[in-house]
Amino acid sequence: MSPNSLVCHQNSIPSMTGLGAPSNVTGHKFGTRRRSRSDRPGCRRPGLLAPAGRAAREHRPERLCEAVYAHCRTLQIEPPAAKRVERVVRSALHSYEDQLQEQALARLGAAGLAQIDSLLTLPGGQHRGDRSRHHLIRMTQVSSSCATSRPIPAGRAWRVCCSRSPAATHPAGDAA
Amino acid sequence: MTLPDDLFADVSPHLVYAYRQRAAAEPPSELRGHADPVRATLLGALCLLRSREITDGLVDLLIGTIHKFAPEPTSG
Repeated sequence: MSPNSLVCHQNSIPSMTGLGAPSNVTGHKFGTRRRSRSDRPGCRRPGLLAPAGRAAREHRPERLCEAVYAHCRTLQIEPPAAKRVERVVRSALHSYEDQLQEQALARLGAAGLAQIDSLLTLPGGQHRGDRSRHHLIRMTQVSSSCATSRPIPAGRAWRVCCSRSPAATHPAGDAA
Repeated sequence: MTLPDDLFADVSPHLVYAYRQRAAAEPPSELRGHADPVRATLLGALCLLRSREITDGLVDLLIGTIHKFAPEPTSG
């Protein structure tokens, strides 16, 4: 007995309730067969996603989902649940991105990576962006130390406030 | 800095642009924290597309300069 005939035989057996499983009803209606262990996405991933290689390069999950459903129609098997198809597609895209990043690193080489890393480091050994980050942290500390719920006026409004209360000082001026 | 010509040869431009946008949005301290493959991909995409943008800008500037100094066509 071939595996396909075994699958068809399993589909033809009604359930104990006499109604059959929903997948069996769908299979009878549309001429599809139930998925077997060999049809699992993990076992047939190369075949399942091979027609969608272009879609994977385009990095569009919706087109990849359509390719999975089209491949299932070609094999005349019932497609997995929508959430499972989404998981398979996301996993395939993640694998593709990992492969792409490894490929980019291999093409760039150690010298290219060192050149790219040099863009993130200043000649003095200080990391680029640290100065602005420290400044941002300092400004955050100053603004949090200002225990006022009113918004700090700026420009002409601040000059008006200063003219009314000469003792007032701008928090930003204190920070500077 | 020299990038290989086939760095993203068989990759969708849409995906390279997404990597470029991601690298442009992240501060350098976060870029340094990535693993080597991720950092190479992000910064490679950023440098590649920025070099193309700069080249396009320079070409536009050159064309504009040529049009500015070119003599106006005479009618007839």
